[in-house]
Amino acid sequence: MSDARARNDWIRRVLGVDVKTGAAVSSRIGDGAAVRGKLLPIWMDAKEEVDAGISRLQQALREFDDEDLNQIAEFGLFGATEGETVQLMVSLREADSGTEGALRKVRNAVADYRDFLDGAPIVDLIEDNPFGVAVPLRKVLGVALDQIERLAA
Amino acid sequence: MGTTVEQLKPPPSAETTRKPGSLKPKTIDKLAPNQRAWSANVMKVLGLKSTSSQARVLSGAIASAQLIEQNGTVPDKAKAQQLRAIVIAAGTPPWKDAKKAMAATDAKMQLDLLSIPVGQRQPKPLDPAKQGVNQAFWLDRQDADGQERHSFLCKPASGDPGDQDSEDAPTGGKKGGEVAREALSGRAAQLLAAKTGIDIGVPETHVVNLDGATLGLPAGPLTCSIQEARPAKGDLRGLGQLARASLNSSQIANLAIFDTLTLNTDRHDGNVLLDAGDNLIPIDHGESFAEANDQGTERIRATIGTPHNALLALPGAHVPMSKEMVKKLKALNADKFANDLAKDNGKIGEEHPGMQGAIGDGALENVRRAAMFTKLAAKNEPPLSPAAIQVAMGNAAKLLFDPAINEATFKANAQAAINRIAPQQAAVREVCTSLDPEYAVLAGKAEALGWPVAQRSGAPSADTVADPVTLLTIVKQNIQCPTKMSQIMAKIRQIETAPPGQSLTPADAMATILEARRETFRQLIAIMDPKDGKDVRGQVTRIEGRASADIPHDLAMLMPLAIANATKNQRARLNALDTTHRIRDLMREDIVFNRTSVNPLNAAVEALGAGMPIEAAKSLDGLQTLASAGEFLPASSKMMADRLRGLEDKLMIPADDGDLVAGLAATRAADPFTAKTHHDGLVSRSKAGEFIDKPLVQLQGQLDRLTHQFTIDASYKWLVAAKAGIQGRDPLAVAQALYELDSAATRNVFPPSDAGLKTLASVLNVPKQDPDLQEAQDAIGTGDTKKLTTAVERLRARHKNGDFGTVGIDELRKRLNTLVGKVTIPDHDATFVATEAALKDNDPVLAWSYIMRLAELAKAGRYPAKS
Repeated sequence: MSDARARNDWIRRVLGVDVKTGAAVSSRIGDGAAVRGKLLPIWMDAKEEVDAGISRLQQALREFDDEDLNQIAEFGLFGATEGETVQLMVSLREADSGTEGALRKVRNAVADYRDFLDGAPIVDLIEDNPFGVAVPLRKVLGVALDQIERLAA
Repeated sequence: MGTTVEQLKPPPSAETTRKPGSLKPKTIDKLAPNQRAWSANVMKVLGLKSTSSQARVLSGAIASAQLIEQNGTVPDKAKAQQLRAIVIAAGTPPWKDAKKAMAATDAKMQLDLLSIPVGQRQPKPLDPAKQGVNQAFWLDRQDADGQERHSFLCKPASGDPGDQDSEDAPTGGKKGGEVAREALSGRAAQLLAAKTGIDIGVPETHVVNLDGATLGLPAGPLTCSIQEARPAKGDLRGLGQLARASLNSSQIANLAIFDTLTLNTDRHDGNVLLDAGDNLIPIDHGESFAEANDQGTERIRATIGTPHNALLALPGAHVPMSKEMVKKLKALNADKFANDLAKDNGKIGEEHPGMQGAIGDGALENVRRAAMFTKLAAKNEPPLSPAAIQVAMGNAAKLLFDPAINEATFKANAQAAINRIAPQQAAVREVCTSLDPEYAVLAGKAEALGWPVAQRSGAPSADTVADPVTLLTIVKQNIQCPTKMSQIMAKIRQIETAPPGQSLTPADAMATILEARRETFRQLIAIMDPKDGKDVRGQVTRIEGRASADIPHDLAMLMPLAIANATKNQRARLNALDTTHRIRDLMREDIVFNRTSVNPLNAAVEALGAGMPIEAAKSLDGLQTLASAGEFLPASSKMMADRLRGLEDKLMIPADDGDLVAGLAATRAADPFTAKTHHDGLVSRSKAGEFIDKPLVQLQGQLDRLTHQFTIDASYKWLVAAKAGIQGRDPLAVAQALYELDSAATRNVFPPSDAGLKTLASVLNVPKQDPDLQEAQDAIGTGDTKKLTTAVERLRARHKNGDFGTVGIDELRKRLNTLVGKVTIPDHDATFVATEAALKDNDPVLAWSYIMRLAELAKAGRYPAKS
């Protein structure tokens, strides 16, 4: 076990603190009741951060007053990730409201969303945009997915 | 000489600056090559296409010319070459010169007609039931795949605007002038896009002269407007409330601003088409440019800020103007905009003499004033919504567009109108976006008081209460209508011009609308979604997404609504709408659609889908009965209770905290709004530092334990880091420092404190009179760290040799259980959690130190004693 991992494990086990988020670690992970009401806010917070980045990119695109860039800004960016979130948000909402079997759905939805993040060309394009606007979709959403996955384990 | 493919290519001058496949050479230069490549890739990935209407005219004309070259007759080929040359001569879009644009579009239309085989070129009437010059026609083209598609919509002029005896048009101009108004609107759209970036995507529109025989009308010259045909799936008519809410708010804002600037007095819901992606396609601008006369001014008043204006019913029109829009309007020069339009109007007259004077100078002065009004409104803080601007301008039409007033009076009147509408925006929104039954209730109340009220559908009518703010004022203040019309209108004027302080407040307006309970629903949505209405479109998209993902709970209403929208059977449609309304009513009851409710709700929807409305009604009856019996918790109350409990846990808020107690009490009383107030109060207090997150409290406990057990130099870097982390509310920094401190303690870097030595002695079972222990105690007393460390090392070594024996894990577990039997220690208590971890890890020294700490804390009263 590496030093960092040993330290993180100790902090989590002894101090009850999640090293990645700084949040308290529930002693009842896996219990549906323990995660109730907690999952969707994690996702919404991350989504809000990502949306703010996309808004900045939209603004940068519009400043060129270019027809194609205006179109991309208007119709392309938010929609590019929005559709993929439906399944995930549905499952998070269900888990938050204590629906039976919802945690399993959450795990599946998280896996699907990870596949989307890993493989969608639009994610690469947004992250690697040549307009100097940082939109770290994978990083921000990935951390949220990690958190959700741990809670839903 | 035949035309070669090579000759059909655009001129070299255009290609040298043009990216292959693109028709926008002027925009290419703005972007670096990697940015252009990125743009092209994103367009490809997202399946977006270029939207420039003029670019389509150019590419379409060349495509038609190519087709004629391949399939046409010899005379057609010769004609096509001439027409193609005209299009090419216009250069590459955008065509800022009106004459070039007119010529190119005219040529394109003729090329399209020639692309259709001889004998099949008869235009198709838009409405076969209509006859004569009031008819509109589709002009088609043939594409390379052999299919005929609509190319232009052609509308012959309805009269001769130059004829003094011609009837007046509703705008105060002359009949027949609608052709010029259509064309000038198209130019206005181009100008606005070029000057400000506000692009409404209006299809290319121009005036052309045709032989009436071409349209199957009597032979002879005929002036027509032609507008590029765009594929559309429908218009705003019959569009459901949620679908309206999902329309793009920035497109709506663009269109509302355009209509305001061009004084478009006919934006009814059939004049906004929707393409497959729900993008707005504005059409039919023949009643724009209202003239500066009584008729024109009354037309503005009766249409732009009233239910006749379909944009006002779209929630997106009520979103405050974005900073970007404000910036764009700042760039608009009212004088220049009006002057440029006047020049284009002159060019239309030069090319088509019949249209000379169709749009008067007064109409263009009105445009200038509308632009000034819009710019002034854009300066308001906080920003107004486009809808509020339209309502304000419509209401004040007689004060703003009176030709007799001077510039100063105009500005004063404009500012007064803006000041009046600013505090009324919520009321405007509520009335304009209310459901038809809700509007009917409001209108019914005003009518019961004797007022004639404008209807939402049908032609605009004079002498009715049409302004939403006035309507609400009448209802709220219970103002009886005087019997004479002159008195009625005076009363309307009095209400319209009342200072903001004496008018309805938005809150009062809300209270009125609450009778229809819509506000409850709106607020519920706001509470449910953390975006809190900031992104209405996003919310609705998400809501619809959830519904389409087969979530039957709160949004099942969408399914019958979809059925209603899809069916052509009137009875089925009514049944579906009725089900929609009933489910929506249930939603307004603020009910949680839990597992108990899902089955009847699903059954209702499925029965409806199977064409069994009676069964659907029965299911809903059952659901309503359950709801009436209080079977379901109010959704928002439950949600707020969960949120409050979450805060209580996260921030370790005392159970008797005032906000917490009051908030929870409110949820029990089904009052989520009060609960939210207390919730927000707790959040604010937390931000102010009143509460500390649970991890920090726990970490503080751990640090206390270490400093209690060991003698750690105050300047030791990890101790400093831990304290700084607590100060800075950074649990991760604290945790990492604690790890280093604990590691150092394990390596015996720190000598024990007095308490730590006692712990050690207890754990190692050292007799009190042991000389090494006494030496250690002396060293603590004298502060001799070296001596202390040596003595402790000796004690540890002797312990390893078995000199003292040890307390086993089982014994420690018993001691912990004894303690837990006496006091109540929370499960999340840091020391308790650490004790459990040490016992589990079979670490008696650590476990014993924790148990000692727990005992000390219990003695200090931290844990309540069990009775």
